Amino acid sequence: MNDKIFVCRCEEITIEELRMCIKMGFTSFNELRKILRVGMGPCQGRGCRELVLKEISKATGVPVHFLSVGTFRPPSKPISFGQIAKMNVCDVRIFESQKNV
Amino acid sequence: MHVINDHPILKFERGRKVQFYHDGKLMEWYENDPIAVALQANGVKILSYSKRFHRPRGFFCAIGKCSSCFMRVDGLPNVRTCITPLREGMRIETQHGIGEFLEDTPSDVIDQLGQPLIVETEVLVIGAGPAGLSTCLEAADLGCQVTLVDESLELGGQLIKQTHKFFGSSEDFAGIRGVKIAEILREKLIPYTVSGKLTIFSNTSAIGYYAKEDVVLCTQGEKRIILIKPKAVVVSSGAMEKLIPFSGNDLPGVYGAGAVQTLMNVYGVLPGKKVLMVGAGNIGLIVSYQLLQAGVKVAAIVELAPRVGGYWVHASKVQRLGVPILLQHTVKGAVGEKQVEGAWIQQVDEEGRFVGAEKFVDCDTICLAVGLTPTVDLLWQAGCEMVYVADLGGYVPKRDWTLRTSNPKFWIAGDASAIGEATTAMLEGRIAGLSVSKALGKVSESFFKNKCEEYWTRLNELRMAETCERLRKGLQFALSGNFPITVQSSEEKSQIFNEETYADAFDKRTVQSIIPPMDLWKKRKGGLVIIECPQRIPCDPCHVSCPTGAILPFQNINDLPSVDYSKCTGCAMCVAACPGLACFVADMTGEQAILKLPYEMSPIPKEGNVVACLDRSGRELARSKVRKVQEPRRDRTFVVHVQVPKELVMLVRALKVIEDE
Ligand code: SF4
Ligand code: SF4
Ligand code: FES
Repeated sequence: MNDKIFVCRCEEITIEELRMCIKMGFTSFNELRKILRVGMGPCQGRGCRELVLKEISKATGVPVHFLSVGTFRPPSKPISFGQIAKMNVCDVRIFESQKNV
Repeated sequence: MHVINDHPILKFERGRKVQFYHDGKLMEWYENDPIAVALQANGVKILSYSKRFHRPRGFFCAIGKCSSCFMRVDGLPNVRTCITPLREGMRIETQHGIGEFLEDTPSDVIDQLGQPLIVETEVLVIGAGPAGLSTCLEAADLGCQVTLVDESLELGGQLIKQTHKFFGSSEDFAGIRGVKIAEILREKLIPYTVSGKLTIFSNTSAIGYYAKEDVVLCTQGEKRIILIKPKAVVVSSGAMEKLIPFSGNDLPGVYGAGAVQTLMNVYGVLPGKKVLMVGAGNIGLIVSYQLLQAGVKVAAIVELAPRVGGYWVHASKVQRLGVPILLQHTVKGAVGEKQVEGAWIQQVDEEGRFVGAEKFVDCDTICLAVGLTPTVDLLWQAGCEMVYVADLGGYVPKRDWTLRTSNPKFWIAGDASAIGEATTAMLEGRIAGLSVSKALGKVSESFFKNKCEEYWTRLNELRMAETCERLRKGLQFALSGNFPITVQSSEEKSQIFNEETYADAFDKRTVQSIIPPMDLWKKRKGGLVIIECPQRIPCDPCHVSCPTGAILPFQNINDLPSVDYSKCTGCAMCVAACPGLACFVADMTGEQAILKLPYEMSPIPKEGNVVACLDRSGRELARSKVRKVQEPRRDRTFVVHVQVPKELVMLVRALKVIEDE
């Protein structure tokens, strides 16, 4: 049998890794995102966010709707630098809010 | 071998055949179909290798949402091949790891990127599914300047892959197939695009909202940026298939149910030859039926819950064609190195623990229909207040009765607001369109109020079905503010239906309650109707189609049909109209009984063909010759007359054409 169980296909995070990190005390989506990169792949957590939150909820006993979901920054899909390069200076301004990502 | 040529419902209009290269190998497929479809048709399932474990990857959602289908196309990396159209001479390459430009990427790849476009509009509608298209219709009709962006190549969202007839009220679209509804909506939009009231950008993803600059960033076909400055935004971006954890859940061949539908019903390409369906909600049941129509075997449907979540009539449609529904079972692992070659399933107990032996299922596709997650990224970015409501599919925005979110610039409609049916999505779209028009000052307060209440009344009625219980519960947490009309709920339960009764276990009491009165039945030439529709669902075509009024009017759209047998002539119009294929006619006046059965499979039988007569769980009970084949509504639902022994009349419910051996 194929042995890996993924919670995040994009960043290839397995359920074992996730559970281990939760055990170590990383029980918020943002922390997990920083150490595991869950939700940072090209789908931006569309596929994995709920699975991750459910695992946290299971381990901590806190219902999902009380958990923090982390921050959402645009864009929600990868965009090539070529595309950005084509924009006018004044349009590129809108990406400035992203510099601190 | 991966291509459908003969389909009972659909005809595939394919464009021009073009040649392209996959990793240097010359292949052929039709222009403008998505690249991932062209590859699947050529037997290519692996699109990329993952960056960490170098695992093979195929597509998953096929609607541009999951980014699982990245490849390098003409030198450009990270192209979502499921929504990028095929062109003559394209060079398509398997992507390894994170997409990178090759060192020798010709500079013209970068130069091909179009100039950004800035668009100002009154209303921006994101997503052209049933909700989005209805929003456009309403808003444009009320005088708004509307811009519609949609990720796919074809407008209509999930409607364009629905071969089944819709439930709901005949006033709306009940009894019409989803594909046809998409056509109708698109046609209705034409006058507005001609007059310039409506601008459409297809193959365009809205990927970011920048509050400070108040602009929505979109990319068209990965190649051009469009910046949209709207006065109001309606998010009708639909939903994405959920992934569940099981080993090998990233293998090519593990597909979302929507992806399977896109592949086979929009483009006529098969996902595989034998499918394990995970989930017995309406989507799992409907897609299983559609797989059978496309000639694919469905090995089994597994469902974690102790009951079928979808409509009873949908479940019995697939069961009588021999597909087992295994309740309290789930998929444990996918087998295969490069792609799915089988699956392990296992039973679970009430607490979700695995019990009993693992069972192997021979299949090449695992189709996930375990629920949908609303696509709400933009609403998060816009700072809308969000709530997690499991009954609605996950995180959804709080909204008031006009479907406006806590960010006064944003409205929602359809699956993005709560996972539901296309019929209710269309009504929500109407409400959102009306509501933005009101906010933009296009309509008066009283006009708005009356119309909105009318839409809500219809919406509530549709949501009174038994199967909508979770949705009704969930909505209480998502609706905020004053509500001028009451959200009705009905705790009324069907009389004869209990949750464990599904087709396999159609109990004696239920059968008794649907047998026509014997003394009349023996005499009535033409036969009498038998209706097997024991669950309260929003649906009325049986009544509407009956020319004699034998099927009595519905007080409430969710009522069970009741019959005045004295009026029934056995004409079988209801057999052809019922979207649940739950009406049958039996003529008992002859030596043997004549059964008139609905039929939507391939091949279409001809008079004199020998067919196998199947019971409610697909077992063959007898063989018989076809007496007659009719197509009363000219809509590809056939009524097939077969002769069976009288004692089988309450048992035979489907037939299978025996191909010449
Ligand atoms: S068989 Fe004809 S008359 Fe009888 S219920 Fe159906 S539509 Fe009405
Ligand atoms: S019998 Fe009537 S109510 Fe039941 S599914 Fe068919 S058309 Fe709908
Ligand atoms: S984005 Fe292409 S398969 Fe999901």
